[in-house]
Amino acid sequence: MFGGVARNIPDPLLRFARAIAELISPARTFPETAQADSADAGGMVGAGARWRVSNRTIAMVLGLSFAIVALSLLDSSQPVIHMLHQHRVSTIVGVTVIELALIAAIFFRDGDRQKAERLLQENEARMALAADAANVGLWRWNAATGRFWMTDHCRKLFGVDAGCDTAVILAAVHPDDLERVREAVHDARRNGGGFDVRFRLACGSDPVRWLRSRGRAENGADGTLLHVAGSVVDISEFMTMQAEIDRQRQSLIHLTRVGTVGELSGALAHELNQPLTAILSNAQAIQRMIGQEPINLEELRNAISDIVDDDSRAGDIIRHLRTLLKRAPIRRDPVDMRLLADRTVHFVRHELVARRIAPVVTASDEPMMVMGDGVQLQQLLLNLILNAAEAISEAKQKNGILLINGEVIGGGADRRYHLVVSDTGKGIGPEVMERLFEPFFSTKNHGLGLGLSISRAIVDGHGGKIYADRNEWGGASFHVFLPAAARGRT
Amino acid sequence: MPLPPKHIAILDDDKSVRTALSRLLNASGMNAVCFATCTSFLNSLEQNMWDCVVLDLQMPQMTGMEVLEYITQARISVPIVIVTAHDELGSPEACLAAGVSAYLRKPIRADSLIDAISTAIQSSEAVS
Ligand SMILES: Nc1ncnc2c1ncn2[C@@H]1O[C@H](COP(=O)(O)OP(=O)(O)OP(=O)(O)O)[C@@H](O)[C@H]1O
Ligand SMILES: [Mg+2]
Repeated sequence: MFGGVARNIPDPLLRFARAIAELISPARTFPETAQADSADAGGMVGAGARWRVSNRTIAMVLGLSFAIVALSLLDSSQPVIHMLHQHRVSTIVGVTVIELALIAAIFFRDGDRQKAERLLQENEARMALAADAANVGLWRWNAATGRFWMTDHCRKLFGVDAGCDTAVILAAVHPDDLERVREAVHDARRNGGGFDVRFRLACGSDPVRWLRSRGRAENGADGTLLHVAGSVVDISEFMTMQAEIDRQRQSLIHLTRVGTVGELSGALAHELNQPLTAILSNAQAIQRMIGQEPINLEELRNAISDIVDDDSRAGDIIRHLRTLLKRAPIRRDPVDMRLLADRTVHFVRHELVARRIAPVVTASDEPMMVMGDGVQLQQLLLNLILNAAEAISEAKQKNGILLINGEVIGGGADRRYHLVVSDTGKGIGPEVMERLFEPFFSTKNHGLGLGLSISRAIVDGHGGKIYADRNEWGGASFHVFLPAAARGRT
Repeated sequence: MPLPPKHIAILDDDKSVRTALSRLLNASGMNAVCFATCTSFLNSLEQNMWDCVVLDLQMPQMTGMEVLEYITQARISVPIVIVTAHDELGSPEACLAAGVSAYLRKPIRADSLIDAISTAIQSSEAVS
C-alpha cells in the first residue's frame, strides 16, 4: 500500500523523502549479523523480519509526509491562493495531523519493541546465568541457518568454539554413540517430540566424559522444522557411580549364584555320580566279557557306546556347573525361556527327587525368546524353584507339586513372556508378603534372604516385573514378566 | 556242575546306571533284571523270585528307605544291597539297622559289588 503511494510521487520529492527516512531510521534497522545470533536465540527470527520491513516503509512515509507538508506550507504563504485553495489546504492539514498521530504511534511501538528486545536479551542472559549456575548448558540449532547458538557453559561442555556448525558439534560426540544421538534427534524431529540422550565425548579423556542432552524439536505451523533446542549436563560422575553400583550388583549376583550351586552340591554330586557309576560298571563288564568264550560282540558294542554317551553326559553337567560358577560379563543374547526352564529343572531334579517333589513344566510349543543373560535367567529360575521346593518341604508335604508354566502374552511391541512358578507349599502370610523382596529377609534357619532380592535385580535388569501371590492350593505363585525378544532375531 | 545263575533285581531310576549294572552282573555269571519304578519292583516281589536286590536310595516316588520298610512289613525275606550316591537320604547305620546286607557308595567297583551280593546271598541261605 505504501509502496503504491511511493511510486506515484515525483522523483525529487521521493529523494527528499528518502533522505528524511534515512535520517530517522538507521538506528532502528537491525544489522544482519547481530540478528543471526541474538534474535534467533529468542526465537524472534520471524517477528524480527516483519519489524524490519515495516520500519523501512514507515520511515519512508514519514519522509513523504514531511515533504508534502513543507510544499503545502510554501504554497499557502500567498493569501489569495490560500483563499482559492481552502479545501486543498484543509485536506493537507488533515492528512498531516493523521500522519503525525501515526508517527507518534510508530515511535511508541518502536519504544515497545526495543523494550521487548531488551527484555528478551536480559531474560536470555539471566537464563544462561541460571543455567550456568546449575551446570546446565543450553543450545539451539536453527534449521534455516544450520547454525548453533550455545551458552558459554554449553560450549565448554562440548569443548567447541563460538559460532561452530553441526559438523563440529557432531565431531565432539564419541563415534560409537553418534548414531544413537542422531537417531534420537531425528526421531524428535520426525515426530515433533522431545528427546533424551546420553552419550560420551570423543575427546579421549580418562575416565570418559558423559553428557546428557534433553530437548525438543519445534515445528512451524506448516510443519517445517524451525529449530531444535535442548539442555546439556555433564553426567560423568553419575555414570561412574552407576557403573560401580552395577559392578557390585553383578558381583553379588555372581556370589549368590555360587552359593546356590554350593547348596545344591549334594544333589550335583549324585548327578555326576550316575554317569561315572555307569561308565565304571560298563568298563568292568567289558573286562569280563572279553575273557569269555564266545565273545558277545553285540553286547560289547552296546557297552562301549553307552560309555561314550555317559561320558558326554558327565561333561555336560560339568560344563553346566562351570557356566553357573564362572564370573562372566553380562550378556544380551536371545534366550529360549522354555528350553531354559527345562534345563534348569533337569539340573535340580535330584534335589527335587530327594524332597519328593514332582516338577511339571508346561509351555506352548513355540520358542519363547527373551533378550538377556542366559546364566542370570537360569539363576532366577533356580531361586524360584528352590524356594518352592523349600516351601513344600517346610509344609512337610509328601509328593508336593512344583508347576512351572510359561506363556506368551500381548502382541507387537508389548509381547511378553509370562512365567509362573507355583508350589503346593506352606504359602506366604501377609507379613512375609510385605518383606518378600527385601535383602536379608528370611524365615529360614539357614537362609541368607538374598534369593528373591537378587531375583528381582535380575528381572529388573531385563526390563521385567516380578511379584508373588497365593495360589488355589494355598501355596505361593511367583509371576515373572519379561519382554519378548523382537521376532526374527532368534 | 556249575550252580544255576543267581536272580538279581536292580532298582534304579537312572537308565544308564541300571543298564550298566545289569550288564556287569550278567557278565559275572548272574541273571540280572532291571526295574525303573518302585511299583513294578514291589509287584515282582510277590513271586519271591529274587536271590538278591540291588537298590538305589534315591527314587522319584519312594525313597529306598521306604522300599526297605515295605519289604520288612510285608515280611518278605530277601537280601538287599544298597547303592547310593550320597548319604543324605539314609545313613549307612539306619540302612544296616533296617536289615540291609551291604551299603555301597557310587561309583562302585565290580569286585566289591559282586562280593557284597555273594555274601548277602550266602548269609541269607545260611539263615534259611
Ligand atoms: N515359594 C515360597 N513359598 C513360601 N514362602 C516363600 C517362597 N519363596 C520365598 N518365600 C519366603 O520369602 C523369604 C525370602 O526368600 P529368599 O529366597 O529371598 O530368601 P531365603 O530363601 O530365605 O534365603 P536364600 O538367600 O537362601 O534364598 C523366605 O525366607 C520365605 O519366607
Ligand atoms: Mg531362597
